[in-house]
Amino acid sequence: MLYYTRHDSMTQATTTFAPVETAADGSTAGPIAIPPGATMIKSITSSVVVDGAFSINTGPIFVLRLTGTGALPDGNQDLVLGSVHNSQGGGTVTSTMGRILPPLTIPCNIAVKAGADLALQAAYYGTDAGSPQLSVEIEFA
Amino acid sequence: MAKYYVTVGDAMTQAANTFAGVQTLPDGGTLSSVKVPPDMKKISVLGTALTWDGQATIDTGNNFTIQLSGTGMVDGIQEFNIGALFNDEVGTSVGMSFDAQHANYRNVDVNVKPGEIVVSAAYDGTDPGSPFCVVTLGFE
Repeated sequence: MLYYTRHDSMTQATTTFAPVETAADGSTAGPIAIPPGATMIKSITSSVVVDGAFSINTGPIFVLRLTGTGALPDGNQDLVLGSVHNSQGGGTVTSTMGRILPPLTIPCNIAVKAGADLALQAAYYGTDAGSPQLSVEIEFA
Repeated sequence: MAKYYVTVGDAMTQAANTFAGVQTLPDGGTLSSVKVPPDMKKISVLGTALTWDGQATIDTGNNFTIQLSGTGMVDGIQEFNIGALFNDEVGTSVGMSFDAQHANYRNVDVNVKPGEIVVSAAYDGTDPGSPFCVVTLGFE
């Protein structure tokens, strides 16, 4: 098994895909070169947060797209990852809230072509929550 | 294990106990029905996520149901419980709530054939404000 990660902030508008191409060391790594001998993505693990003040009364739902020329014999794949929500009623609320989230792991069997570049993209439905930050790990087999 | 994944989502602006189409692609396009991919025999994974995309209406609670129908369904219409939203407030209106949940992925075994699958969703209870659901179908 081989594991690769990418992350990125999501500054785009709603229902718009943007690349997830930053490496854990902060460099712009771009797409993942599918390793020699790999035939499938065995699992996808992800987490998403809001890295900044959370816009009140918003609740986006996040989606990952797998794409890349020649990388996926069965074409692009879109998978829902999760949701966040912040609601505020009337009045002025001063609060501090935190949450620790375990990652989501999705077992799968997505065919890939070794040597091609697998590009990760992300989008969200709904209203922008402020500064979403998404991280994705891909397990090849 | 699913090989092919399609995702659609939509705001649920309909009344309670009413199915409405879930047919917006993550890129904003419209997919009124999902074409069963070539050589796929079943839906083996159902991924779902729920949220309020706006202010939650206090003192409401809802269970959500997904319905799959259309010519691609071998055994006819199928319905799935995909979870719930609820919001409670006591006292004056200064409440704030915060939540983050990853999507729920479950194994299912739904026979499909070449054709179209229509994804619809409904909720029970009282309108919670701005419910939004997203559904991923995993085929194999």
